[in-house]
Amino acid sequence: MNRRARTFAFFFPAESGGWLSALRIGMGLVVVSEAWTLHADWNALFAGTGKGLVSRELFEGLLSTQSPLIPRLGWLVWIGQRFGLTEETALAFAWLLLLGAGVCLIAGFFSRPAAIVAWFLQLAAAKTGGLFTYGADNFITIGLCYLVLAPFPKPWSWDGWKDATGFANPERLGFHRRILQLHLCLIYFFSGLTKCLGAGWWNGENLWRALTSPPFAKLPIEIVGTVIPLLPAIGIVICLLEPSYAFLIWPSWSRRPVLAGICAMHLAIGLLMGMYLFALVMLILNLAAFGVAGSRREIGDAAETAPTTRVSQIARQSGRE
Amino acid sequence: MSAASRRVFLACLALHLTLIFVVSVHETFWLLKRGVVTIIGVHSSAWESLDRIPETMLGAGGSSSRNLWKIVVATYTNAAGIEVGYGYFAPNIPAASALVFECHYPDGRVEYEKPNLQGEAGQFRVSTLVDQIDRTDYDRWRIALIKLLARSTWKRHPDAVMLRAFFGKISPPTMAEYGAGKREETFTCLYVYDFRRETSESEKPRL
Repeated sequence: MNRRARTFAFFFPAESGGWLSALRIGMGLVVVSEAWTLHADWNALFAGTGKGLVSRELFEGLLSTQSPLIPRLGWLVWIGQRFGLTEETALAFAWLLLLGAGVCLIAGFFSRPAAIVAWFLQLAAAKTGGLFTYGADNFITIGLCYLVLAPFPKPWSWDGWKDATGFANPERLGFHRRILQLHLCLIYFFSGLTKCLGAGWWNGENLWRALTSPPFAKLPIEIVGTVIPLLPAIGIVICLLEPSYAFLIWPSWSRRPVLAGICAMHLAIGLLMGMYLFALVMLILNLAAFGVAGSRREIGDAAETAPTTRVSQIARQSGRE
Repeated sequence: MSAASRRVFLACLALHLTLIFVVSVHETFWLLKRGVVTIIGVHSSAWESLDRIPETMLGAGGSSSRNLWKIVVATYTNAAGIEVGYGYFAPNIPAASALVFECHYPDGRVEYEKPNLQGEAGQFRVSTLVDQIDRTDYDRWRIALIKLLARSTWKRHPDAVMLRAFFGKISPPTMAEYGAGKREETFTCLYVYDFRRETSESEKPRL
């Protein structure tokens, strides 16, 4: 096989839609969780000057210095005002739409429009939130952005139940999964690299601080104190695990332990530091990218309905996978 | 898929991954040039020079907000969620920031309150905001943000005549201090600002 064929084979492996269905359902859960947990504070976070905790106009003004084209909730408020809606009503409507889009994603009901609405509103809320936002918001945007772009498969969705004909091109499904996989490799490589530069990750001090500093301190300090001897070792494991993820996640012999290690780390972040949303979105991205195996039966079914895909090529590539 | 459409897909992928890489490198160089991390034998000015490459690629070097390249890159990276790097909790975890308002009443009574929201998720975001306030080197920006938080606190304490904001750092004991028997957190006050109802512009840094 020449270099071009090898490149195409790597970037366009035939995939079933299992991973994308997992991503859709998972991101739907994340969107619903985010909307639900912010319900009580939605207006306080995003209302204008004098009504909210800070000021929507201030953060959106800052956003405009980067680009006036980045979505923001102020656009929806402006449109709502044209229809006679108050700011509060427009924001409540945006919240309801976001929740609805999340529910639709879980059910696979109008998956594409739901993904677009969820992506737009989540991005608008994250950007309008300005200094209120943290890493989880970026990862939710990443997951939703891939959902918007990827071809939607039929399995596990209302859309598929209503219309079982047609199937997303397996090579395009595989290509989009590769993007997510490579993106995660870059994420962990740089995350690990910057951690390795900090002395505190090698002697356990950073883990200690993460578990005992507000707002992450969920356990009594006395309980964290009992595991002090283990913290340097856990810190070193994290320093080694994250940068090596980019390389060890590919071979079949190391994929499972690396994936299990990363998932365990995110579970611990969620449970011990209270970063539930961050943990959930990272678990979903990892499981969708590397945890969900492509089913050969589905690929075979897909090949029969995908006119541009050669069955022999799919079978060859799925065998390699 | 035809070979031509595959090439288009690959070109888009290359552009996307390049942007992720450049943003991440930019953040790593930023940490190094700020001296947050020191690599022996390499001066921070070297990182400053190296950082100009990703900075220029992202259009961040230019001051004009009408720089078309900057707008295109910023719009795309924000829309894709890749506008920031991934150095979370790295290289080291700083002490948590804290903001407490001391509400003074006409009868001499004093109450303390933190800026807060109702839900746990909302409260977590307030903590993020307070940490972000700490990261700014620009006094007027810090004062403006604290003043906005003071204004919302005032709504819950309409009878207060003055709010005094204490901004600082909360440090739990280190592992060594814990081993020596220390259990309580330490609050280190960095700034104090007074906000009076009658003259909202009277905040004066006292530290």
